[in-house]
Amino acid sequence: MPGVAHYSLPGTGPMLCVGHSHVACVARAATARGVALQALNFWEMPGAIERDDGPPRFTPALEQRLRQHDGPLFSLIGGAVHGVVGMLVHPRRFDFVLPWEPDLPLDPAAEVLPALAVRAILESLMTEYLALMTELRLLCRGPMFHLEAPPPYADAQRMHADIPWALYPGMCQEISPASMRYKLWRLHSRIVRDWCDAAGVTFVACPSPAIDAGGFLREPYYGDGAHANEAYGELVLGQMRQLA
Amino acid sequence: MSHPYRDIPDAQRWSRAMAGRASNEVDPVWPAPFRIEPESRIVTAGSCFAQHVARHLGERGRPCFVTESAHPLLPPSVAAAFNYGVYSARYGNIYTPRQLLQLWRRSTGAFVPRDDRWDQDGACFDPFRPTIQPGGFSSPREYAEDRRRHFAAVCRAFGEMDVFVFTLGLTECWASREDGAVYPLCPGVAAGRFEADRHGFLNLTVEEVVADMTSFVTEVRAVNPRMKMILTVSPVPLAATAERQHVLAASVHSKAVLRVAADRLARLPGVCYFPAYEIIGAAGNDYFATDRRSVTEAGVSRVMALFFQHVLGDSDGSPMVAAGDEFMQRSQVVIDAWCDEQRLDPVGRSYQATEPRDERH
Repeated sequence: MPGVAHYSLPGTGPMLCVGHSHVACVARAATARGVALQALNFWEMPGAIERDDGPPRFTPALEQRLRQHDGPLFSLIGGAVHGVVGMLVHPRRFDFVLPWEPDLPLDPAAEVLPALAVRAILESLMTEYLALMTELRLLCRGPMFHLEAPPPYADAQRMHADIPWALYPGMCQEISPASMRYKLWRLHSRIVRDWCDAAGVTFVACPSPAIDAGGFLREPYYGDGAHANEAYGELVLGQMRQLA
Repeated sequence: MSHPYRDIPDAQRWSRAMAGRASNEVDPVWPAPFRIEPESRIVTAGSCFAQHVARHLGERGRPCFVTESAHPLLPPSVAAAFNYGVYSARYGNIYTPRQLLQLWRRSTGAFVPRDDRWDQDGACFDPFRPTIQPGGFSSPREYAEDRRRHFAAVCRAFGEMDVFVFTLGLTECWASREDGAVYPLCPGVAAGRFEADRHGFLNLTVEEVVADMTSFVTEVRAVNPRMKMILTVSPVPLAATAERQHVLAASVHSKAVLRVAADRLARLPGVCYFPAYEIIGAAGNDYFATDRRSVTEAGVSRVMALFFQHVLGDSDGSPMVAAGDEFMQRSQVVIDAWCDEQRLDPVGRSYQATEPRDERH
């Protein structure tokens, strides 16, 4: 499997963490703390996922590698779809009522979409990620844990400075209201949690020290607006070590 | 010998207009008193047959005037499931003239039914749109917000339309005994709970149908004087009757009432009747499916072909194709690139503790 050996941590430990971009902060923390961790970030592994006509599949070589892993498997697959849908204000501004926290603020300038419709939008974009998680569940012999994606950061002004707008001419340059981004993250997590419950996978909520009273990512853990930083990765690493 | 039938047009004589003609050769449309202009804003509503009318208008390049459209982020299948794009606004099927009048009055605030909301299985249902979205509304607040927007969309649709195409569907309905509010579906069928002491059965008479429709026309024209109306009667028989009689007899009675009422209403200025009921009914089994109730696509197409020919004039017939949501595509690219930076980030890529930290952190 080209790329895997090159990019994974040196040495083989009992912990294996696979996923997409949110793997990076955990891997950095592991390196910094000398924790043995195999980290597979699919963004770094072009060709690791085969897409024919059916659902996405890992290559046979990667499948073999995953099958041979005895210990627990930690998933950080996906975790960005809520950002795709609502990090930036849509030209046709929208918002929704989170069913289990209906009193959260609504954008007064937005049209309110049914929460189930917003859920369907997210689910339609998460299909591939959930398919990969299904594949993982079938392959791994030990327990499987899915680590929740980090919550959004409340301060849109700071995020704004980190977005490389020049690369994306024509994109709306307004970041969605914090409550909207928070609701999308919660709904995204609910979808993943529901999948985990049905698949026998343990859903691990993001570390509570990283979350402020409003449910947002605390400042010391801010990464680049879409991701958390190494300090956050260290908290997640602590969760993993407790579970392993 | 001279008599009134001697020189009548062929269309008035059965032997020439009907006998020996195939179903797709029968054309019972009488010249309409007005035509729908290309720039006209068309709103459709009515029983389930009205859905076909709206769909065909869109497919043939004359989409309805939509005031409550699906958000472009919604995949088409989801938008359809949530009843976006079926009619001008998300009011669902309107089976009776009383339901239509009530919708207008509720939207303008002139009538507020006491039966406001049905809470059931952790969701909220609109008694007057119980099937408008799968699973109902997720919270009372979502329901209130949606209804507020919906009423505004209805007011705009009816207040700004040029032509209203309404399909009269049923005379039978269920009403609240408290304030007379009528339900599109009997409580308990799709949602809610039927209570005999709270819900009563109505079978509208010709006079009631005429009165309700006349009130609707009068009240809408008070804010939209240019509104013209095309009435049709749905050829779809009743699925079930609450009358103690055979469903066929009840269906014929209901359609007869609506047909007579339509004839009387067509005498109002700016109102005309389009014989969709006759086009389908005269074709016998040709335009009905084997359940003797569902109108086949061939039947709908024949109705709409005549509608376009006589009422709308020519159309290029090109179907309307919804564009994908550009925002989503661009946003996906941005997020992907951003996530990709985690790969390109030298610290994240090699996982070497000795490499420098990302300065942005």
